Amino acid sequence: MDDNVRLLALQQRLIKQLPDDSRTFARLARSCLVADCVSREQREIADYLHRLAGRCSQLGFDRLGQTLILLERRLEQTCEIGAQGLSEIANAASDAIDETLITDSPKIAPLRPPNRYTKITASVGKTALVVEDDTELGPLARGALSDMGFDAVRLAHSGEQALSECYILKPDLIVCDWRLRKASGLDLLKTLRAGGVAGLESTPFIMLTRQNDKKSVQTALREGADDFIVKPFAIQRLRVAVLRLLEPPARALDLDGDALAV
Amino acid sequence: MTDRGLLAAVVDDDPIQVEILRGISEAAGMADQLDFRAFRSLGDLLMGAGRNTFDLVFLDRRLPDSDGFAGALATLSQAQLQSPLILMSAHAGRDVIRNYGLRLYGPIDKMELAQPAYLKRLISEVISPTEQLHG
Repeated sequence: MDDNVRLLALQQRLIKQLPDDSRTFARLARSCLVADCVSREQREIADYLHRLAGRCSQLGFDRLGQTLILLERRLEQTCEIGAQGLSEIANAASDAIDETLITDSPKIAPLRPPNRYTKITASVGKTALVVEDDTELGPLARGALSDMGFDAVRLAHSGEQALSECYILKPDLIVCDWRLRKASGLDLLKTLRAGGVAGLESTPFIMLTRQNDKKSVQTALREGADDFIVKPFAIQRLRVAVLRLLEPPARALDLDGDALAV
Repeated sequence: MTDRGLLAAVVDDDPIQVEILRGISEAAGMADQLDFRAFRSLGDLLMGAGRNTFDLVFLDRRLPDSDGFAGALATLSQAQLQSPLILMSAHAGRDVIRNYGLRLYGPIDKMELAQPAYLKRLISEVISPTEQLHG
């Protein structure tokens, strides 16, 4: 039995419902402009954005989910948005849904985007944690690791959040940016190597950084980092690092060009 | 705990959320171990006499009768909720949370919760915690 049957059915329901959602946002956008007071519409739009963003991001429409989340944030962060601003947000939501329906081929939309990177056998059944506050690089690295075959990949935005994730996830691999708000990647590395989270004292740790100098590299390696990747980097560089850390030595040497019989 | 296993409350005004969590738990191979009850608001959860019979509670950030996590957690603390709480949001990671003496996990991005293996590990951590995360 396919364990995803229920999720696939829910995804189909979401796909059928999306045109109605688009029309609802368009209607709300119009009603904002004629309402005496938009507080009711504002609440309705915020609730609708929140609900739909959650559904979309859980059921395979990651990009639409992210767009709706950004719109919800914009709504929350603007104190006095006014009828015009509110109408623009509702219209933007409607447009984003329409665009998704055209470009994402919803009839064949998979629960997860198709894999762009070949799976790494040794990552199957394992979990990874990405710690990155860059809003583009973080999701990119998470997606790449997920495609490489990790069972679960979590994304944390700060050192403190990463530590919480370490307790829950007990990751088999950590990819962490050096410069983070408050606690740095180096602080996290030191905490883990010092036994701050039981069982993670020797978890493979890849440090990401823009600091491409010898001293930084030596510092990271001395504190126990297993690899050091300078940003910006190609995903293939991350893949090679993961392979080296997780695959048996014979395979890793093979990748380096040595003709080893396996 | 029921004869089927764990019982989780899902407090979310989107009725599909409980179905999605059920689907993810099935994909994680936990269908026989975990059952869910849906509540559309905090009031719905707290009105029932059995509110403390849940092994864990999934709590959405945006509910019709509370003002974000802060308001919801203050209410749940006053109501002396005993169950551990998994805070979920469509965009987690930016909230500053006061725990009010409750056992909290998250906030966790709903997209992350959609990874079956992660949900499985999270639930196993919540049920038998090795460390107190936010306490």
